[in-house]
Amino acid sequence: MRVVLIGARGDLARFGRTWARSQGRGGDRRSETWVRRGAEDGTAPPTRPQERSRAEGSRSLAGLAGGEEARVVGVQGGPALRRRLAALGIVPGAVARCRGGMPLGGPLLLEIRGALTALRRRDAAMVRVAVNVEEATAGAAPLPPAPDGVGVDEP
Amino acid sequence: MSCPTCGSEGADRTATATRARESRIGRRPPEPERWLLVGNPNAGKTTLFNRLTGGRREVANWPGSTVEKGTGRLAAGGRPVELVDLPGIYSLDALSEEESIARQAVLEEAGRAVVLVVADAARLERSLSLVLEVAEVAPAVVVALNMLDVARAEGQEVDPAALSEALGLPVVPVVARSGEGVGELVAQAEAAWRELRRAGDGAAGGAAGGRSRARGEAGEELSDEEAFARAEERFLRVQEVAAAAVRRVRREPTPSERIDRWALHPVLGYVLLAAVLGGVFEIAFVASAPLSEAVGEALGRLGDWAARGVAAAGGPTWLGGFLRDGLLGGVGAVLAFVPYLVLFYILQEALQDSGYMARAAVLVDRLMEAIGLHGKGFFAMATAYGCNVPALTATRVLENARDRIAHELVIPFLPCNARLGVLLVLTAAFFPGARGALAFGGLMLLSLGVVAAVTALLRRTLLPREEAPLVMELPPYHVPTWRNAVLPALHHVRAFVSRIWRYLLWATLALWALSALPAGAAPAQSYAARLAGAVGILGAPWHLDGRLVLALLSGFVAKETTLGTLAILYGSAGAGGPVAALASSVSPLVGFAFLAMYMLYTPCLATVVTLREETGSARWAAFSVLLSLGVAGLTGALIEQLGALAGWAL
Repeated sequence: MRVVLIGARGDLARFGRTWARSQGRGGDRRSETWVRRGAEDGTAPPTRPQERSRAEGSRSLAGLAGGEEARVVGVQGGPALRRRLAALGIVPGAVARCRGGMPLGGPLLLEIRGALTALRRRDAAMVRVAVNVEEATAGAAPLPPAPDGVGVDEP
Repeated sequence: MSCPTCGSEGADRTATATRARESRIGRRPPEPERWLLVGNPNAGKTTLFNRLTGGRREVANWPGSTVEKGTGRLAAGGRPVELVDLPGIYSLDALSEEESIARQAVLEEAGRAVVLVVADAARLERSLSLVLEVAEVAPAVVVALNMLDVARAEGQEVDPAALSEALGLPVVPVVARSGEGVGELVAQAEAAWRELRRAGDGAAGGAAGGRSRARGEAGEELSDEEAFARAEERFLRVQEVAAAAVRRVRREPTPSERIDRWALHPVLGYVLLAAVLGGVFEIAFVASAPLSEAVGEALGRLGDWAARGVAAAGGPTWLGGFLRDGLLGGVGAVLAFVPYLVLFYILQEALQDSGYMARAAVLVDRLMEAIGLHGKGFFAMATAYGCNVPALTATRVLENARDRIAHELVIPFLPCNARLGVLLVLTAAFFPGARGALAFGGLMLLSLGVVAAVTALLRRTLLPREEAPLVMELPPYHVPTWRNAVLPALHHVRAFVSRIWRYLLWATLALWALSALPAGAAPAQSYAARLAGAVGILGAPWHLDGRLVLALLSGFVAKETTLGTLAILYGSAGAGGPVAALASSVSPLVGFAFLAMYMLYTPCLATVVTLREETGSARWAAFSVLLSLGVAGLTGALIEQLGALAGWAL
């Protein structure tokens, strides 16, 4: 079951979702749709890894909602930013879990490399992540074909 | 008791002489034993340092920087060892001043010193990255594995033996807070030192050559891409090592996470922050007031007694006045700082040590960022309302030198306790009743506006923002230890007193001479009164008379002396006391402009001296003085011009 908003709890998570939406990132809304649909008709959320992997691979760390976990796949931005983030272990392969953010666009709280770390959203936006951790780990490995009839396409 | 410092200094001198002799005859000199202490910020490095050295810490700055260098001594195997505390860092990548210093120290000492890396088991991956980086350049590395208990509570069991095997380095589990395992750490470091010496003596040529080659490779400046790629590789290796040594166990929400639910709450977090700041103010600046007063009273009594003594001995009256108002007054001016500085610094260090300070920084970062400052500077800015001196010291938490200077330049625009007191009295005099509250509120808003405007100006000119992010790690909470709070606090206060006493004493003596000489003259005939006539011309553009200008000038020594000076100068001016005389001598508009200028102009002597110390340059201190004079002058003129345009009388 792929519920993206794991343990979404309280105002922090709600705030993160609202913010992500205001930034034009649709990932969260879509995952909520899956959750709703799964709850309504009893079917599992869609299992088409390739499609989701591509769509979610383009998200940034700043778009994570509270409780979401993601794997870093790339770091953009200027050299000073990249080196600073690298020194803290924010490099491809690192797993980050979002613990919410401060109001009015304040820093994001991330559990990364075992430490609670606050990062400004502007800097976090430079870090590309893949939300589904197992898929990102699998990397270029061939993915199993989706069984017909199980996947539910996006409207 | 024999003096250990002198003893070892003597030993050092002998060693230097021996080395000089031996280098002449071409033999390897015996080197003093030295250990370096390296670790991530908040890994417990300072606590371990205090454990190892018994808390005795000699503090100096690293050459050519404002970064603090702490050294201490311990005895290992009967020999003295010098322990050098390097700044808390995440990597040897020379991005910040701290990192450059740590990197240089490790590179220079590699092969001669044992490097103790403090690793935090609860945040193992970042610690291991530093361990690997240090081990690349230093042959003798011992890992002190701290915070195993915290790691267990957070759901990971770290096996020191497996870690040691995976790293190929000795790993000693320690509890820095209680001192557990410290003996074993010393033994391991000793062993590493002996090994290092043997390698050095045995294959002097080969090993040294190999080492310097390794150092050459590690010492070269990496391009940005290479640095990033190396970090990526290093963290892959870190993950392997961690996988071998860490076992995940069932975890429950840790106390830290439970506290953070409240402390970082979008609403309650701010309520708590206000309460904590209020508490710090209450204890440091309000509760210490009786102490300050008691010190002042005791000195006053001593002064009276001295003056009576002089009179009884038939000495001249000016001598008694000199002793009471000049000399002891000066001592009092220095000591007046001490009670609240002690309390303030203890609270500040305790908050820092507890982990709450990082939360406060995160809570207000957005607000501070909006005006070009940083969340970490918030505590410093807030405490500037108590006293600018500790506020300037508190900016040390900012890693970036440019950010630190930006904060240090705007802090003096926030009125301190002393200035607030004078402002309250004078506002009440100029604007009786409800208008006073309005005027005072206006002044407070004005100071915030000036801070925002000056920061914006600095960010566009001298101190542009850097692209590098300021990342804040939020360490788990823990109860601050006395040692970690009180020792640095006492050190701060000692440093302050030792650098300020000369200036304050001389300045107070000068003030006394101006107001009390020539001997036996009435206040109206004193040098001060005569000087007031002469400096009047300085105040002309702002419609201030000489007495107000002189009050501003004397406020440079200590802001609270302004009231005293005004009392002397206006004392004989008429009925109703000096305050009423002052209020009737200028229009409300000029009065308000005077208050604004008083709030904004050059900070007090102690602040300027601290500014010089903290920025590491007299030029920044001078710039700050000129900046605040300029801003005050401009603001005063603006207020008067706009007021006159609005139809108020000058």
